[in-house]
Amino acid sequence: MPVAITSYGIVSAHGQGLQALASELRAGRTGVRKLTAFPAEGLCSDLAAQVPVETKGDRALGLLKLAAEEALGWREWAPSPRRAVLLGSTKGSLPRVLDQGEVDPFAHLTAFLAERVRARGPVRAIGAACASSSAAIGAALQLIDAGVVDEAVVAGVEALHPFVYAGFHALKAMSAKPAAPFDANRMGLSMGEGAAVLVLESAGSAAANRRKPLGWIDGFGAASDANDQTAPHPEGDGLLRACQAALKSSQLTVKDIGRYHAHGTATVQNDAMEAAMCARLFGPKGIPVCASKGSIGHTLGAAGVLDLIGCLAALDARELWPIVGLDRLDPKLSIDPVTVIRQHEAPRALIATAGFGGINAALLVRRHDP
Amino acid sequence: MTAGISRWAAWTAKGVTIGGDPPELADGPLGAWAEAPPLSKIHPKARRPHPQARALVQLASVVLHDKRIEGLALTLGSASGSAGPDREFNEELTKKGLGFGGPSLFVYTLPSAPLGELAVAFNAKGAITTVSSGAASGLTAVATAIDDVDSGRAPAVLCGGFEWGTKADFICLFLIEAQGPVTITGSTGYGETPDGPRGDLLDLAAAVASGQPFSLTSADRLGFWAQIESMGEMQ
Repeated sequence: MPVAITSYGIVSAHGQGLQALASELRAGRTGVRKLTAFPAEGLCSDLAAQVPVETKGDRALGLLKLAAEEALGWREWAPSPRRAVLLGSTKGSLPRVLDQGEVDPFAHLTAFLAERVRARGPVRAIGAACASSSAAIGAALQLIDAGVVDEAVVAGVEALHPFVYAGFHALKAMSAKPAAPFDANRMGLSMGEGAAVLVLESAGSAAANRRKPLGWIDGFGAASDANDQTAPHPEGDGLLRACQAALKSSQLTVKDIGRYHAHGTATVQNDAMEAAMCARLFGPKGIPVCASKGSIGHTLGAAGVLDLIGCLAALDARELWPIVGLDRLDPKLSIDPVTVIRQHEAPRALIATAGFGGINAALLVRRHDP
Repeated sequence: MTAGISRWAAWTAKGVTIGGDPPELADGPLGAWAEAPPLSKIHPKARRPHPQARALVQLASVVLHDKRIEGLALTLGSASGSAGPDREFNEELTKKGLGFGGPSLFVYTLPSAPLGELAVAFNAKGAITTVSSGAASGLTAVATAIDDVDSGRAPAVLCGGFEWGTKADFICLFLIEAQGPVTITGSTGYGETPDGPRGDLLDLAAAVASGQPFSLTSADRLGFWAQIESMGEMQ
């Protein structure tokens, strides 16, 4: 199962590239600022983790191109039926549907990537609410594991749009202040946007092509709560089964995990669910809990792949990075949240994502130790 | 494991068929279904679901036929996805203002929302995903479901697809299980489409109903393709 990450590119609220993201995450700084992409008068928030880069036309495609160039631009791509492309997003290029009369906001994004890397293997967009790009990584792992392809390009992308912003306002899920995961006074999420692209390869393919692994994905699991359309299962039943499935797929146990990288949206229900789930999975001893949405906002379908890249950077630094926005832990939550930089040698993280419809996905990620 | 189709049903503007040949695809929204199971009976936890999700739950109930499958996974393909609810929510925002969209409608603007409804209705606790690859979305979802059952990742998958708010709406669902009676294989790709008869989910339902061996390929103008093949019904 271990699949090598041999390249990545990212654009987030902290700008373009891993360095920009990693330095801000490490320093505990937030990219949540006053929203300038569109007016938000009358809404419960006017904040967002907006990518500080101008793009022309289709915003989702523009963000995807920025991340893709960083991840893919250094390689020559010969056509190959043993290369897949998987894209995770909730709304893709929404203006194509709302303004241009099209019905499919994903196909041209996926096709762009497929043409860029001349993929001739499986190519598709995956929808799994806010776990979409984690599910896309899972699909890539399964294709590589089954020997259908040698490598897969996986992307997550989400662009800010008034439609989505108004929707989360309607759900009363957004915070008037920057998101504060696991905080006693948390009020909800901060919307974000961004894109990230990964190249995943079988260990054999990476070795044969002399491409140095930047990290490893050891396992994946997915499961549904089957409980409610919007509210997570209060005890994290589905997320627990997703995490257990990820461990089983990698033949690891909780003792092999050094940190839990939470979905951590900063909504009252999500964070309580994850704390309950952590207690069930890791037991009374607990585990350090990290989260990045206080810094880069909630990028919805792109969250899984953005979280993975940020988490891998912290694993590489052999550190735990603070949860941005967390000032005072909610006393009802029995977790060990990271609030200041800590030295931490353990090489593996469990990364969680959860979404509407009770959809959950978990990834096991490991730094590359030469 | 060998994946096979055990049950299927289809709904178009011309009506509903359960097993057997599907109804003809015709322009317009889904037709009337007089015998449609009442939502209160099949999905007591429902809270005003969008008509798209309601229709999927109703058709799924006849495919699952009161079966409760531990770890049932859901994979549906759709090119239009949530385009219908998207336009409805956008109209609401345009009419009432950005701050006055309905939260219950917004939830259904996620392509995966109808699958979440199915999961709650039928206690499906496996993986849930929608698949989008243009006109090949439906057969791609079936091919993905076959992989999931063949590999043992899921004991059964409710798969197929739907188009909603399009010129010709339809829903076509299949239950794929290990050792299902109509053994099938699937593959997907991008670029040059394999030779062979073209077809979509409704053609797949007709081919399965025939009990004969078949090969069907869906292709999209952008380059996506999916192929489903069967040696026919196992005796």
